[in-house]
Amino acid sequence: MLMEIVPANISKLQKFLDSQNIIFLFTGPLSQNLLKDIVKNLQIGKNILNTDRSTFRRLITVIIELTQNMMYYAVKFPQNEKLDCNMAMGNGLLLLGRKNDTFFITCSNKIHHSQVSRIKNKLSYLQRLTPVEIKKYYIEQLNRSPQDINEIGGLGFIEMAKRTCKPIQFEFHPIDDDNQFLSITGHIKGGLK
Amino acid sequence: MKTLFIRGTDDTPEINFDQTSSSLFIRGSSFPENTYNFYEPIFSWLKDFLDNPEFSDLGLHLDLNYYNSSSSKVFMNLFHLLDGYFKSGKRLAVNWYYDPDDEDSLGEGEDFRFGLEVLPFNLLPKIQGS
Repeated sequence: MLMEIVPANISKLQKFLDSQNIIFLFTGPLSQNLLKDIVKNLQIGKNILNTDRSTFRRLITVIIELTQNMMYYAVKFPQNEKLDCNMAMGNGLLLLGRKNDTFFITCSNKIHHSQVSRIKNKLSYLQRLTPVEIKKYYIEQLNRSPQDINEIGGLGFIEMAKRTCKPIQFEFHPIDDDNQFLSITGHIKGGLK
Repeated sequence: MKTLFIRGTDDTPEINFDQTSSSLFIRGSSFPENTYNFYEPIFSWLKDFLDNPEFSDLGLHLDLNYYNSSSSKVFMNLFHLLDGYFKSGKRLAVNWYYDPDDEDSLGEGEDFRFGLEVLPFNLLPKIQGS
């Protein structure tokens, strides 16, 4: 469904998102401040999700991992002197929805070509593991030498795989000579309160 | 001994050392953007404390809500550090508080405990409403 974003079409867009059971959708510069607010808002509105504590914390965990992963890998905005240099912002999309008894969380962003094979290898490897193997791999990685502090993204994907009920889905789409569009989705079975 | 207190925020936990009971508490959520920068002063403080011959006991209490994977990595590094000091004769223990109503919470504590050699690592249910 592609349409021009004009006021007359906004209600159609809203209806479309509702029909797809989208709980929230954010697109634009994602930052740590925004992530904090998303977590806070979800906590305030957690009764609306009507889910148990385990599911709710899995949702928050996956949102945190996906958003921070995006902030880590995303092609950053050109440096703006007025911005706090510590705010790693990337243009991205974050979406939470629910279909029947399963939540889905998608995060999409632009990444540089040079990162593609690294991310693809990590995610493809995790897709092939059973839940028991994921847990074993997680413990192995958790106990790796403390020197490996640059492997932040590595543990994040495993953490996400631990919390999701299906293998992590991902797609790359070339944008131009330098960049690709990465989209990652995790599914969480929604236990009721 | 220098006191240690860091106020908690939406994405960082409260860090508090209680000298009377020789207990270090980490409470709240932990998903800062740069986890290693946040925890670096705590590591330094801990090493100073544990290297000081005047102090032989420490209880580390972790009562966490939401935390990211790099915090998990930092906690594991912290436990390995204490594991080493325990072997050298310090009297140390970790209390990990889990949510009995969250089926993942106990397992997260067990995952940490699995990687340790000798450090006592206790899994205790959180008191509801706390």
